[in-house]
Amino acid sequence: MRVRRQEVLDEVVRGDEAVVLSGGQILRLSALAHSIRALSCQWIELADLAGALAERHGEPDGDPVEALRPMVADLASAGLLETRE
Amino acid sequence: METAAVPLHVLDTDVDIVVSGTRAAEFAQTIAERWHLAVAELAGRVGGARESAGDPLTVEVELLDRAAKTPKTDGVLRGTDERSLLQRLTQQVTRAVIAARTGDLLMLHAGALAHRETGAAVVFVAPGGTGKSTTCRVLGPGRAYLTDETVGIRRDGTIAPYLKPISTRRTDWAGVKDEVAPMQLGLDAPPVPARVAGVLVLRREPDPETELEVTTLETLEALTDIAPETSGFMDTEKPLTWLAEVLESHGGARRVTYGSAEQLRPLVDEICGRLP
Repeated sequence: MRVRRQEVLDEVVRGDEAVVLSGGQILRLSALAHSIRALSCQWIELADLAGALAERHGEPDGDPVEALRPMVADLASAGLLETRE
Repeated sequence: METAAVPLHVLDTDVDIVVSGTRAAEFAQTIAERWHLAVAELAGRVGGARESAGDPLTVEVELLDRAAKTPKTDGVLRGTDERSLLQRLTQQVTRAVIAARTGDLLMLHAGALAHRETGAAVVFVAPGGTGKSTTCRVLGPGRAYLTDETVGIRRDGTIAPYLKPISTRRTDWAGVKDEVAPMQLGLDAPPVPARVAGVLVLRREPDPETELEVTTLETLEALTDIAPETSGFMDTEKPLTWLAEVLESHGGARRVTYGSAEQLRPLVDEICGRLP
């Protein structure tokens, strides 16, 4: 799977977190969610994204790619990320 | 049919209230008395007032004789009860000016009072029915009244006054709010332009003895707290960025849990005492 961030109408970043305006919603992004978007300005393989996140935030428990999938799904359903097989 | 007009100037917008009905002149006089600080002729001289940003809006209202048949739905506010009609008129004016100023102003669902000489304004954000009007009533005398409903912040940081009547809940009025002339409550218009000096996010508890609790909000928390209490936000360019700039240039926002408006006095004193 490859992912790429979706453009938002507005974004305020403070520290390593953010608040975004997208699809008529105001959403607060955790440091991890914000990093996912920051690292996916171009299409990126999920495995590469998982590796980059591990460098920033440390290794997750279990398989890094599998650990990432639910968060990618959440961001995609919120319109903040697009995915491609 | 008899008609009369009441020209208002609110939130940088001219609004003509056109009144019809058998007692049009009398009802127009009542409207002018309740909206006395916003009557265009005087509102143009209020500190910080600006010329209308577009063509005048028109809001039509008709006070019906009790014997009248049910009217058509043609956008005209109609009713037989003067008190209810005054409340609906306020709501209609608010909706109309918000629609007209969307994109030009950062509009917060908030009340605001300012220092009469410096224009330093405290903005208190709160959902409907949770303390904006009461705070204006209790802490407004001696300060400049800016609004009890919608604070319109211009790009230059000044506030566009919305000098509407104070909407006052009355237990014996079955849910209808009394639209009280600000003058009756000792409130007056700003003599100088007002600028945001501080932002409070109000959380009023039902128990008036509730202990005051003040929490400083970091910017992201303040954005998610305040954004739901805005108007036209989604149709404004970069509204989060704008709101963050407003908050951070005045020391951020504070969330205040309280039981009675009098508890807010020290905070309001402190913010209005700042140099804008």
